[in-house]
Amino acid sequence: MYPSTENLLKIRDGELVDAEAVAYVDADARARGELERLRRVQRDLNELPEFAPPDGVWERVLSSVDGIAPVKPQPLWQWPLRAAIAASVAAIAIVLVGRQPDAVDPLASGPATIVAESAPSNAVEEIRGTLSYASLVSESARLERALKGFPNQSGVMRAGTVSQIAAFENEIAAVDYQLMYANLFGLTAQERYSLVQHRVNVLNALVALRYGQAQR
Amino acid sequence: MPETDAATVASAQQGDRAAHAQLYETYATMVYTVARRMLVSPALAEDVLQETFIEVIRKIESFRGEAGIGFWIRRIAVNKCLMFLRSSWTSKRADIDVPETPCSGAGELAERQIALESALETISPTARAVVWLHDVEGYTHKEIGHLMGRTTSFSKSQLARAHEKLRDYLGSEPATDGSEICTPVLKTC
Repeated sequence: MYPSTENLLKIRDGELVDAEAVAYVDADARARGELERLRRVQRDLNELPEFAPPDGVWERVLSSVDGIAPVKPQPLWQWPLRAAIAASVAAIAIVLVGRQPDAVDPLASGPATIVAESAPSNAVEEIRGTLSYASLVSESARLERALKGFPNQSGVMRAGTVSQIAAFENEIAAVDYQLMYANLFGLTAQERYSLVQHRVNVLNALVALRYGQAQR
Repeated sequence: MPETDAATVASAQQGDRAAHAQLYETYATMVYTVARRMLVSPALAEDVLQETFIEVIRKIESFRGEAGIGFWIRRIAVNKCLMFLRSSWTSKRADIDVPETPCSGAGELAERQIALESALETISPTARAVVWLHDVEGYTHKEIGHLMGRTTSFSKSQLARAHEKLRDYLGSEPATDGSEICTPVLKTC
């Protein structure tokens, strides 16, 4: 009897099958042809070309894993409040800087310095179960150096990637702003720690994004 | 299967985002291809790619290295595909997400591949998944039955029926000069 497709597949895959089916295939050209066809289909399936993944998926993976705000934000850091605080603090800062002739432009000192100088007095204090503030500052500086190591962004870049990079950079700038005026805000050590930790997380995501971009 | 060195895997396990990005660069094509072959729909395959790497990053600490990292990632991708196949919502989405039939240069292999891709899209999603898992991924019928919550016999009969349908489709393909092969084929998911 002509073997079933199931039996022909068993023969193809080297599985146990009725001796009668094997004998039939040996003797019948049509069955041998069908067996060869099944083998060829399997070979062709394995040789089908690959699909190139679409752009933008890695950025979405990062957003999902890290989020833009992986550290649970305090109400203080919510964006609507940020804008109001930034405006009022900027006004205060202008007044304060105007009163001090030898005041140094804080932006000129660079983000790593801003982060380091925002350290609370008990900066080396270990917060239970987490990195020390000093370690976070060091990690933040390391990530900044890594970012500087990437080549300049190419002229052609997906709008989504540009937007994501801009979002990360804005986030970092917002954190730096709050750290720069940490004393004026009266931020506690824990709040400063959370900000720097958040900065490291966003920098990490930005480095990964730039790394992925550089690989393309 | 692409390789990844142990140092990169170790860095990824410690949360290094650059190492995660390297894993993505190495395995994204493999994951997306598996998903496209099993689910056909580009949108669903993109979702599988995203979900797979979210899980890779979240669970890589638990990777013990018994098999290679590539096999581990591939298994996650296959499980995601099967999860999507079981979802009625995603199957509805797939119905409206019809990929275009790729056109390729001449050549017997290219023509056979295009015909085979079209043929694969005419069989049911479950049968297609069984064919892919068995004939390409190397899963046994017992494993496939287990993954799909069905029996070993179910997997065997699905494979046999799928091959019969592929034979009927491919056997009925007209001899073409290439241009007909590139004609979009109505696909069902």
